[in-house]
Amino acid sequence: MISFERPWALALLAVPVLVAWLAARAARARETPTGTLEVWREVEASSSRAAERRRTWSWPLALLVSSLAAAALALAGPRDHREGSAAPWCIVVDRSPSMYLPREGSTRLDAALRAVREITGGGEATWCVESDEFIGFARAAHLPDEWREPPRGAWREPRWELFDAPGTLWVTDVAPGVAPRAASVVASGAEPQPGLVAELEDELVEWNGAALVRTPRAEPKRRTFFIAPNLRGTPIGRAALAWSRARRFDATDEPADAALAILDGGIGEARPVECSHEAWTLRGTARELWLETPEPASTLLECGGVVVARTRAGAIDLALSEIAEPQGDSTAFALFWAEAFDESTLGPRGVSLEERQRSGAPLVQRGLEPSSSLAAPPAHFDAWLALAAAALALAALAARYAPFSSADSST
Amino acid sequence: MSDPTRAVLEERFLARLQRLAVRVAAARGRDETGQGAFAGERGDEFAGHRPYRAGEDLRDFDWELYGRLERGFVRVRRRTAGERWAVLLDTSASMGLGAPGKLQLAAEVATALAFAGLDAGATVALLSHGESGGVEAVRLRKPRDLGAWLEFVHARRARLTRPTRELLADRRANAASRVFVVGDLLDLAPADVLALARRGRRVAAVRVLAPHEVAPAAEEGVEWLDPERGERLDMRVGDEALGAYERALEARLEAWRIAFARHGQRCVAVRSDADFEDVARRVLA
Repeated sequence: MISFERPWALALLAVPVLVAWLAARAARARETPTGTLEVWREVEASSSRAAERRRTWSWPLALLVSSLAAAALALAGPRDHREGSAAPWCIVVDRSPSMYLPREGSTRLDAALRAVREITGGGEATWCVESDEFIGFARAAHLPDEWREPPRGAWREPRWELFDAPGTLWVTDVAPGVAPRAASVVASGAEPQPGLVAELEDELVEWNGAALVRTPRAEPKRRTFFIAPNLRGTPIGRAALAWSRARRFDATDEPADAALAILDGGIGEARPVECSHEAWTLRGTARELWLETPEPASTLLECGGVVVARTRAGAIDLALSEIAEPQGDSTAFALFWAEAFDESTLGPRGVSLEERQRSGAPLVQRGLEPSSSLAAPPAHFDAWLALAAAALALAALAARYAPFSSADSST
Repeated sequence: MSDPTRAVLEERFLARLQRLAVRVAAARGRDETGQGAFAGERGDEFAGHRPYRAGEDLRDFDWELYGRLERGFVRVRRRTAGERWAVLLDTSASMGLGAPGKLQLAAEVATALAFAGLDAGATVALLSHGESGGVEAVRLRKPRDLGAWLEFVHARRARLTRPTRELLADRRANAASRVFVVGDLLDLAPADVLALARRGRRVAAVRVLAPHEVAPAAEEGVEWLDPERGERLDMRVGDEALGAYERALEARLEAWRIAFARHGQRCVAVRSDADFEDVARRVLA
């Protein structure tokens, strides 16, 4: 996108326009009423050379007008913000549970995404998800697949006010309670959606559209947990096993199904680490954790500046590989991890009653378009334009006074 | 600057008209032919002879004199009582061109011809289109009718698009023994006017063209505009185009002259800056 350092100078473009208009006016054919138009037509038809079509422009004039225009543009100081014209939309997607409830044969999220194109016109965008302290970004033409799936854990609506800026689009199911000042809004619309509210160990809690219905299970269904094989038997593995028995969890080999998965999330080379806590010290080797997670995550344990354990909904990522027996209070060590397991364990399956009762009309609300504020440093053309103006002026002079232009000079 | 779409016959013109009558009378020999400054027309009372000119009415040819002198003479009658002349004045929009305007000279010539008819004892009707588009007329029977005549002329406006053929078809024109068609006549062919030349009716055409129509100047850019049809032609008028134009115009005018001469009639083409006296003399000569 082109902007101008001195936009007022653009008014000077009127000068070449005026010059061109005056020249064209001066060269305009003089209207002469005549009763012998038929004779002139005969003359014109009889010889193409006898009555040539007039020439209202000459090279010197064209060059002079171009020179003046280039000079005015040079004075205005054009700046090319190269990324400005391609400034992407920032599309903030609500991943709260209600977005994955059914609508029009798919989900509310899919329905809302279909309307996104009306605002953005398609193309690459910066997709953003936010819940609590977690913010995830992805630059893509479409919402990343992993964000199309229901998130693990309880996601909240984004804090919309954090994203109220030109070129930002909020994607949700019901119009947010916050009125945007600059952002655009797409809401899929929602109707109350009866269904499972919570799948507990001994009963199912469902909403039938009017009231909650509790259905006792014939046999209790225990939740499961998964622990990476290389962690089994380690002090942390043993603490996890003890915690799962206390919580009546069954072990599973499918981390995707588990209410809690303790994963080996390290990458790269292992190096020795020593982690000191209030009542215990842990030594071992550790690698680095994956930098990105698909959902909010928080640091659980950091050793010598290296994050070795991270919690997130339904999972704990560990970078520790060889773990020695902890020094100090072993009970405090086990409780530390048990509390972390509790914090990370997914709640019962289902969508809360509040989410199921949400309702609202579809909405497509246009805000401000993306601005070029994030543009790359602008390119300057002043010097080139000034050079072009000078060259054109010289060319105009040459064309005016060169011997071969004598025919033109009369115009 | 005067309005070229109007004709104004002021006292100066009337004075010139009077002087013209006197000069013509002197030249033609008033003593010989009696009254009638312009004279030369058939009438009831014999007034004398004058040399025969091509195209004159054979009924006036004096065969007896020819037999004696072996030269042609026609009889001149003093009065043309009961004879009717008609002057058809073209007031189409193209007549509003030129400096002075074509209509001005046409009106002056028409008035001079009318006074020639009056002098010859004829009743002269001036026909032209009125503002409403219909054909209007005024008659000149006596000199005192001059006021009505002038009023009629002053009311003419050269801004109409009515065809001149309507004047030719008017019954008053067809009832006249002599018809003068005055205008640029650019919408007519010679045959249109010559159709009136039947049963001894004499017809004369006075084609008035503006100076820039007769001799346009070379110009880099001219947008020719037909004031009647609104058509335009944008062109560069160089020397070559000028030459071609003058040849084409001359060919057209010559075609009129030849066609009229073949029928024993007269066609005169003049510029609007010509003196009406010269034009009237050429028409009546």
